Amino acid sequence: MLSYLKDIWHGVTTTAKGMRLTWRHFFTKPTTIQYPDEGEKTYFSPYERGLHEFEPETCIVCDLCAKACPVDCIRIEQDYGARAGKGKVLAVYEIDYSKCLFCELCVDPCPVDCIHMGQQYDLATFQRGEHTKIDFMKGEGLWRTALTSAHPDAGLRAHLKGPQRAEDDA
Amino acid sequence: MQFWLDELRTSVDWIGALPAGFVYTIGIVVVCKIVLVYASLLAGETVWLERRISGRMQARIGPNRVGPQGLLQFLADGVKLLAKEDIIPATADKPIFLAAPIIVFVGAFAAFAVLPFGDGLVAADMNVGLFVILSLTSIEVVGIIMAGWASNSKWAVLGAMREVAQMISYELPLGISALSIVILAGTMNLTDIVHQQEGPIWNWYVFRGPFAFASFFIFFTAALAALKRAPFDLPEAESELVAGFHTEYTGFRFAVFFLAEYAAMILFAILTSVLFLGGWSPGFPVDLSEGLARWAGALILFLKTIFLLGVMIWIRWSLPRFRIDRVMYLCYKVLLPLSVVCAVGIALQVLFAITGLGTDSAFGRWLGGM
Repeated sequence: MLSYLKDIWHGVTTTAKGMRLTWRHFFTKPTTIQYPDEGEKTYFSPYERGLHEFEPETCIVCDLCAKACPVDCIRIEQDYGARAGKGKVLAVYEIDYSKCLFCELCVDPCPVDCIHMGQQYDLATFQRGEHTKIDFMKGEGLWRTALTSAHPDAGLRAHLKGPQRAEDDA
Repeated sequence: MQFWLDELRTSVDWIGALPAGFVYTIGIVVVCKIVLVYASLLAGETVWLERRISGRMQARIGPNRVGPQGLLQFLADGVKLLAKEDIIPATADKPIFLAAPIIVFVGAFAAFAVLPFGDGLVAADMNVGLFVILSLTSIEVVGIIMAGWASNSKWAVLGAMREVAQMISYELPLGISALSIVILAGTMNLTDIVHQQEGPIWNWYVFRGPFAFASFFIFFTAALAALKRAPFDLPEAESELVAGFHTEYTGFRFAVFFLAEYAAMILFAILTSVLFLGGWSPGFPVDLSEGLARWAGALILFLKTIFLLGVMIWIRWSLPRFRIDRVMYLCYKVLLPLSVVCAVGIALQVLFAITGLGTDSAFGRWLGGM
């Protein structure tokens, strides 16, 4: 009989204990970083891998990025054009984003560092065919910014204060 | 409701000229519609409340995109569910499968007819109101076992069996702890029960002695189990039974189950505040005109309902799920004996108070004075 009552008391006290814990947690600040509304910036890691940023002026058309790509999503076409005999000219630099893994393997082999991973994260479209293939030579990479992911002012990082930023900047 | 309709017939000429039966019929339809819409909207917002509270408890934010602070999230969810395919499993027992959500819905919503939302704001002011509510909520069991059996799925059958075992068991402590309030009040009319609790806060039945206080907690726990809310949510245990009795339901039929569950939550929250927490009485004497007092009282009852819903949600996100044998242990070996003790205690309390028996002992005087 005594153990029965003890059990009931134990049940009541442990319930109260558990509920006190959730009560305390109710008043903690959410850690969620919200998806940015239009015009807002969001936080990026220095290693963010969004859509590529590509510098056609620097590219030497060596095709190493296309060879490194594990899914063959980079298509490069070269042209000798008016400068025949004086080296290659880039005609088409197209990335098929329906295949791309955002693995960053195209970035490392580039001898002139003309391709980086950018910060364009908003990849949703209303039509299935939109934005799947992007030809950087047709001026389609309109989101190209001066800020690469490694830049200290990239994204919201400049606006975030506190340990998160210090840790990343270190 | 008849009071309102009679007032309408005497005050507005052209309504008074209509035949009485016609006015009452239209009145019943309109009032039913109002109660149904009110309960459905409140159920939808309860889903939102639950998601926001659980979000904050887990250091998240919760839905805040649709409408101000995400208040219209339930509409977006409802539209999504309406647009989904209505699948009926090939091996299901079709007519029973289709009828089950309707019966569950009726079981949850019919009881709102006798539930007071404020002083006089009740569709049917019955003398057996409490009895009708407890009976109508039992109909839900039939719908759920129909859903589980007709789905022809092992998860659904297991969920429905647990549900029936649990609900039928927990109706005993639920009914007996409600009975102790009936003994104290001497009536089953919910409006009268609230009228007896008006005045200072210690007039609320929850504060009428230790037995009534314990009855409140027994009633609330048994109500949680009858509502299959966590920690008693074995019938729809997501981790073990996929979703229990509504595993095979999709689209709007699933939404109906969901809505009925939250409507039953609101039902029991209002019923608990009416029985134990003074209903629409604010806990101190107020001096307002009759019309103003009625609507202020409705607001107070609404706030008490929201508070109790909050507590239910808080419990759900704090406690882990029981094992089925512990659920039955808690019902038959803990809550049922305790509720019987409470009912007997309250019966003694009323007996001492009415007859003056027991005034020769200190215990009797203390109990009779409660």
